Amino acid sequence: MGFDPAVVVEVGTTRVRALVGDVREDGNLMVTGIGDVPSRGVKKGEIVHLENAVGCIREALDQADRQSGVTIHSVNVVLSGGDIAWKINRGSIPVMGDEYVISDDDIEHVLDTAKAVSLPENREVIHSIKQHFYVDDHEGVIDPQGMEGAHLAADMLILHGIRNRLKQTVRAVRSVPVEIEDVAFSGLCSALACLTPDQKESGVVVIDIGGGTTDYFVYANHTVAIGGTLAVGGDHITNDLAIGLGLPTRQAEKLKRAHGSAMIDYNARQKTVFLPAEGGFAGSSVYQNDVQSIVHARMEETFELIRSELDKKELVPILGGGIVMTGGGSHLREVKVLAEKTLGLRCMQGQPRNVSGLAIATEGPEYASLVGMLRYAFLRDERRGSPSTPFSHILRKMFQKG
Amino acid sequence: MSDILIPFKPGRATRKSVRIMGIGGAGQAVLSNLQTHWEKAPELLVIDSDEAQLDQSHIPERILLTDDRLKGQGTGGDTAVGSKLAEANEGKLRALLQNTNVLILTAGLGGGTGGSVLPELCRLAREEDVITVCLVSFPFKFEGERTLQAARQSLLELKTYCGLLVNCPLDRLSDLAGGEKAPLAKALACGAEHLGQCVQSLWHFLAEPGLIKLDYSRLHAMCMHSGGIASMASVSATGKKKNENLVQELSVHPYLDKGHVLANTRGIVVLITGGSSLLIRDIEEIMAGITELLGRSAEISFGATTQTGWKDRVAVTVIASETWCDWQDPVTEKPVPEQDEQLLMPIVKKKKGSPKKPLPKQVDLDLEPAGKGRFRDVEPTLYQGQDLDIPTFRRRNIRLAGKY
Repeated sequence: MGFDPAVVVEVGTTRVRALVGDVREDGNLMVTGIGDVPSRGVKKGEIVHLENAVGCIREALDQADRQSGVTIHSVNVVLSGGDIAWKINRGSIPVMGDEYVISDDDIEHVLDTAKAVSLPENREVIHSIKQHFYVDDHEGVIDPQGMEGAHLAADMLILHGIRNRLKQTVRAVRSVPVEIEDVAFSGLCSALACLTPDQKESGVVVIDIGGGTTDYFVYANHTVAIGGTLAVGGDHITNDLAIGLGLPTRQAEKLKRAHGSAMIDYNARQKTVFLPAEGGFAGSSVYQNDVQSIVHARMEETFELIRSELDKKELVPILGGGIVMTGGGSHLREVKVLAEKTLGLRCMQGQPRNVSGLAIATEGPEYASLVGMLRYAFLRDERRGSPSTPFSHILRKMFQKG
Repeated sequence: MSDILIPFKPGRATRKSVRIMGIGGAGQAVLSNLQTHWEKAPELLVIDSDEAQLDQSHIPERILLTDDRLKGQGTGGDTAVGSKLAEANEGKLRALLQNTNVLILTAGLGGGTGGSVLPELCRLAREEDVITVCLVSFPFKFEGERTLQAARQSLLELKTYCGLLVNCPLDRLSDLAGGEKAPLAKALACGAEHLGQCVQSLWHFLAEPGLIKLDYSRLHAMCMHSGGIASMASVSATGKKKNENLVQELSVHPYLDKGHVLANTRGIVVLITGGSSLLIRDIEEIMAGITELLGRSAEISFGATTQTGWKDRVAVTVIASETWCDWQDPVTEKPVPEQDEQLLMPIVKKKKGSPKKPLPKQVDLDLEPAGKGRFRDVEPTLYQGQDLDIPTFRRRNIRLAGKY
């Protein structure tokens, strides 16, 4: 245990959560503290009410602090709002090494060129992940060092988001007040937490269904292929039910949890669900099929949107590992069946691996992104000295006033 | 779908303020056909990117959309090119909207110009407070996935921007032309003619004083309520049994899904045109016949007009919508209900950009987005022309078994 404990926080739409953890010599993560509070002031992964959000973050960190006995100074933040999207940028250089033998300098140079992506004014790079190299006509090269060629090119996967929205999250965490160590995309974190090396080898898509957003992150051809976030989540299912069935949000949420299903059971056409009166709600009776139709439509559309992202790079045929589904939304009945149907890939439940300590954190798919961020933090510390992400560079510059 | 409020200008429907435009090759074909058959047609206008095609047209008013790259060559069936073209010519398009209240547009989807310029024109029309009615044709299945995809995409965008959208799939043409053995040329001609008849009917009712006038407010209501795409069919007949025949033809019309649409219709507009010998009894018989074909409680709007020289010919055009979003008369609107009782509120969205003119006083509506529940105060998530915050089952017109 050479490193200090790491603290991670995620400002979600339904819950704000924090974890404190260590890494053991064998690489296993140990969670020593959890904070988990209802989220207020966040919609669709975006902070809409700063003060409320800050209050929740403070509370979550306090809980984790007390439980772990670690005084929290700096945290790693999981990002999922900001309309995070992907773009693949290719950089190309003539080989400068002696006798056209590709050197480390060449590799560094081409990666820098590939990182220089042009994005719309309002967007910021969160991650630059190298994909494949091309040595002259030779494609799909993983490590070109020592190869001979006149031209070297490289593909870089750029994950980017809307700067102002992401800064909001950062600002909220800073206002607790607490330092920010690093940030990472939640889809990437979920993948880090749940996937085995085999799955990454075979090609796999991780789908993390949260309250406000759904993230996807894909490995294919031995690299990260694409990743991004859709501003649609469990909240949308609840809202659809509320509007379609004329229910208050609370009742719709209960209904979703108790009777929500992503597939429609045509044998139960006449079956109704009775919702008892409560508070200002007079009570109501709804057709179970209607509940299912509404949920099915929303989830099918969400999976179709992910499918269209996968199709942009023709990934479906090469994802031997199928779908790994995680996040709170993975609890929805039949959701994996629907995913299989819509994406044409096998789907299995994903949950955090190689982590022990407090049970909820280790077993709940809701914690995948947080556990993944812990993993990310320690992997980074291992490579101490190397810059983490461009965004955190900018963060440090921006917030370094003393 | 027109889920924003378009304030309409009541009264004074002069000829000028209802315009007919055709976009792209298919749009041109429909209007050319119309021009030949319609003696007293108003000024028709065609918009295209292909200079050669435009030159061949007999339509008096022709607008060429071009930019430095294309120089009068067509888009070559590429919607991306079409979109850029529309953007580049925004000024020209906007100019066409001046002094117009209602725009009747026709185009074929799937190609380059029609499918990409039409949504753009509708978007501008919205900004300029012009109601748009779009009659579009949807490509044959055999035209290939790429064309079909482009057409689907255009349809989605049109739903967002267009006031009333009528989709006429070409696949149903063989039924219209008299069966599978109908030669392709005849089938296409039938299709163009049908669209033309629909355009003509609409125009008569909007631009001319009729016997029983169908005015803006009805059309406007139709636009607001249709929830997406409507069906339209036009039939005509003469002779002794014409009333019966008209109803009969409507009941099996391919564009009304052989009567299926009528049975499931929530809102329908019926336009009857006849000669000077049109009797009240004719209208009664026709309306009775149609009402029988309609399902449960359909809202019926009706208009009748006569044309000189029609003798005993009668034509009936119906526009039917299977979906209906409950909407309240703005003048007697109840106060905004609490956040959780979203059912009966209109699906109204904040207008993009600032409106050019202030809303007229009588439409005193709260522009706050409703029907989005929790998401009404948040910036909408737009993806390919759809607002994902609006419930999916609504956008896909999925009917629920119960009434809530």
